[in-house]
Amino acid sequence: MQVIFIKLLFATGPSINTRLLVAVVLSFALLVIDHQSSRLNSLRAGLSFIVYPILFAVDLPSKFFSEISEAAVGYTALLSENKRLKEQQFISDSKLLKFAALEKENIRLRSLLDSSYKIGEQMLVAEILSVNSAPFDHVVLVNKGSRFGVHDKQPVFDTQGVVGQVIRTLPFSSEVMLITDPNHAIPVQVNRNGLRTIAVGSGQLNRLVLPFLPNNADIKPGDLLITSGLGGIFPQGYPVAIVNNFEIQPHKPFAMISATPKAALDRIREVLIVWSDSKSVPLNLPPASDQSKTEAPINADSLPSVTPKTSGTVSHAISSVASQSKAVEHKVDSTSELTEPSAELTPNATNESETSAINASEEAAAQSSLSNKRLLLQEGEVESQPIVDPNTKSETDLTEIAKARAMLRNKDQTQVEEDE
Amino acid sequence: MNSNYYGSFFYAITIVIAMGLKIMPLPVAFQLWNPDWVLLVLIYWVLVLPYKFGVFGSWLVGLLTDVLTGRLLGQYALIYALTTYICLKLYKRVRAFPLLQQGVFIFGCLLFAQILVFGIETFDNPSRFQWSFLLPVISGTLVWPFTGMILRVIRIHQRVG
Repeated sequence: MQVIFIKLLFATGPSINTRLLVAVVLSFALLVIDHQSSRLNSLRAGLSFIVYPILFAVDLPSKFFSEISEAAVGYTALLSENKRLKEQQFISDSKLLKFAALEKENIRLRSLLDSSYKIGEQMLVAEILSVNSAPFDHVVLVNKGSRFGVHDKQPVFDTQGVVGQVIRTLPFSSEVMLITDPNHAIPVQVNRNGLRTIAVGSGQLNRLVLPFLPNNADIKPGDLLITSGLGGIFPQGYPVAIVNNFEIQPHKPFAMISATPKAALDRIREVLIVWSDSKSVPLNLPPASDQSKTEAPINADSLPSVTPKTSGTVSHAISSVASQSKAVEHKVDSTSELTEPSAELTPNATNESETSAINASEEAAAQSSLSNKRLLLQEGEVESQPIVDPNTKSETDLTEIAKARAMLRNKDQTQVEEDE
Repeated sequence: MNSNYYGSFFYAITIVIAMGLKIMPLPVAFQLWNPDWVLLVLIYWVLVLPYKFGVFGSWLVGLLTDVLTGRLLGQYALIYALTTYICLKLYKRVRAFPLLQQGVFIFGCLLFAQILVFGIETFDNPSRFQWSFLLPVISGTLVWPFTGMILRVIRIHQRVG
């Protein structure tokens, strides 16, 4: 007590006005820097070590209650659930069998078109922390961060469809913006006819709006919207939403269309963070000697030799979490060895990487771009001129590309690949 | 000296609890009413112990709140520092105020803070002003007497300060 009063009597140091001035100047500096760049991410990451326990503690009660309610389920209920899940597993397994064959067929058909093919995603299960950080934003926190190799602009799914994308990562957690956030837009296409548009968040958890379709657009309630792969963040072909309302506005150029997200955004507890390689896989690679194939090709002659890679990268990242503080690069050289078996990422993530998540790397794409005529359409402008790799500039190549492009146009479902 | 350390630990605990309340998940209807607990607790401590709580302390708490809520770094730091400054300038008068006048003062502080929050968030990401944005100010003013009472009881019980 004595000490305090002496301090008070002989108060030294800067006056309160000076202190305020310093604090305000510091705050403005931080605000401007944080607004302009991501240079302060290390500071934020450092401070997040202090506040993470608070997040964890706030999340505890709901976690506790959900565990309690799980534990209180009766024996018969569990038995019936188990039976149902087994049936579901059986069905999805048999669908996957078909999927492997279809994938091969797709690769083969694309190789006939001299087109490129994109394969392989790796996934990581993350749990949503039930905290509310910003009342007006649709942003959730998940419990996996940069220590698990999570990085910005990663797509996030649940088992039903697209949930959102990672907008910021901290060491132990990352922020995921939901597709229904008013500031979020996702490029989609109608699964039925390939009509492309953009779905914008509405601010309501059960509603997306499609504001850029004309009144005569071929879209109707019940249509499934899937990701179109344009934009480069979301991989192509994942379900996003189902159109539920189509209203013609005769006095306006655009129709009023809304859709319901497939993902149960208001109920999900667990999400999948996805690593998708934004590079398309070049086809007709000369078979390299040191590369093994994960699956036996259906027809060895006509099949392109894609560079397959088992997904040892993410599991590697997780195994080294304890030792490394930095995010582990999830893209590994294509020429590196294919030794590591696809291990389970987390205890509750069972089916993630064992389905031969094939990852093509940048080097392979760059190497083969010389020998391959890849058809690449610029993102957002589907009908524009195809972008050709700077390396393939000869006229013969260009004509061949134009030919391939014409062939692609003839097909109903033009699959568009994007490249940076 | 020992009690001093105990005291600092004690303030930290109250502020941590306030931070937890600030990010507490609530039903949507209540969500809009959730007051800025951290600011309420900070105002209380600044008014009661102005020689221990200064502008810089609030600034640091604000910085942690920024990280916690995922806002721009410096947003709550600036707001808490400014509010603390106002409280430090006026604490002698406010202590002598009757409850109603104190409520008016708290309302003013919270309103000032909330308007700044809106201003900085608009700067980051332009949005339309909604009146529901000011609901936490009203609820904060309403819970102030109880917050103050609880903190006072705890403070006297623990003989902090």
